[in-house]
Amino acid sequence: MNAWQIIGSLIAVVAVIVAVRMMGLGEASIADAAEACDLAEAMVPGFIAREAVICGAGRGALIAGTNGEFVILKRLGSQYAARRLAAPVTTQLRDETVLHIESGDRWFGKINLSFPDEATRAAWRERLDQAR
Amino acid sequence: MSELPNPVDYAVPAFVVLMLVEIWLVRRRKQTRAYSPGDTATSLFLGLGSTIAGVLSAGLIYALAVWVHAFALFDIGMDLRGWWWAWIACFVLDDLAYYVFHRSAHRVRWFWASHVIHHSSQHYNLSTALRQTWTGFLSIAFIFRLPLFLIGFPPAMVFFVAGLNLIYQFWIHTEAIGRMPRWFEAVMNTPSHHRVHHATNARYLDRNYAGVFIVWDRMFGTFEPETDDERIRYGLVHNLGSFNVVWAAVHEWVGIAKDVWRAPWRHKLNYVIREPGWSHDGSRATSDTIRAAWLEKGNR
Repeated sequence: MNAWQIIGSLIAVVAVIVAVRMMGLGEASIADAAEACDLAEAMVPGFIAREAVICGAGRGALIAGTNGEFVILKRLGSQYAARRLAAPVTTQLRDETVLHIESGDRWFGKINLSFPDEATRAAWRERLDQAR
Repeated sequence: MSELPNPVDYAVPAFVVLMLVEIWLVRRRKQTRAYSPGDTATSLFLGLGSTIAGVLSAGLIYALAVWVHAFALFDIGMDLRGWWWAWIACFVLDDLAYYVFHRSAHRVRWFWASHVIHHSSQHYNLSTALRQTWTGFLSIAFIFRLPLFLIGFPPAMVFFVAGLNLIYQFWIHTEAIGRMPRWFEAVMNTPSHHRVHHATNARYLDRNYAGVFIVWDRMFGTFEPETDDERIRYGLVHNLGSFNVVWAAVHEWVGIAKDVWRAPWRHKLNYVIREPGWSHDGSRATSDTIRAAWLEKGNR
């Protein structure tokens, strides 16, 4: 492999990424709470979902489990990644409806969930606090 | 080094063209979740990094292959007209060696630490095929081909057919192709068989390790057909949740180091040689425990 092959490969890589972006690929949204529960149960072994709230027009979700645990979903590309939140869960209020949640995983990151309204956010935050 | 070219170098332009065709096709079919820019970038930069890492270690691996070949049982030549059967035998046996390597790569965490990179995308498209390891040399994956040199296949021949094997595996990383003709599905690895391999659904975990010939899975009891009744989820049991290229490349090695550091002395080695997900207190899930829990629920 010489320098020209590396340069050629870099150009090809950029061309493919640009093509994906230009074609508008990579969009996704969670349709409803049932889908969020299904995703959480499928991605977190042993987790049994009880109810969920969809956040940010389907870009994320918070799911409560039957045993008092919580799972957070975030969009990654056109798929979703999940994390079981370990108690105590660190949260902060942002804006009117946004709840900032620390996933406890550096690479999964800190998630800002945009709730449908302030009351819903307050209710879910209280539940997260009780998980301590 | 080898007197034969690396066939993968010549296939790269075709890889790029086929990815562009697939992107156009999924757009046309409105399968907008098939690709995403961040995932594709991660896959392709991991592929580029893998190529560079491979070049850096190629000389050493080739030298080792030549040294082992000096102890060969048979004197096998390279000339295609005189030794055509040896080329075919080499391709088939190299694919068997790939099956053994690949199965080990899913069942031994040290090997998995390199191979996990290829499975770290939650998307499944042709760019996923190029999401390859940076640390293959560290995980000594090359030892699985050493028996071929001991038999007597020349290193140049083995590395050439290994390149062909890798090229074959490119096209099976797609959802754009449903099923191939029945006879083909019976013998060859196909997009359908390989979707199963990349799936994290309990029924599909640790199945279909084949490279080119799916017959190895059928022979050794690891074959699972794709069903239309269940939507496939791709990726890892514990997905990365990040597009960070370097983290994708090294995360399992970091995980091994942390686990070995924290574990009681008598369990340290098990965090290296046992299956991914194994833990001394049973607090984590392996593919076996996930499948068992799924079967307990009355599935199948």
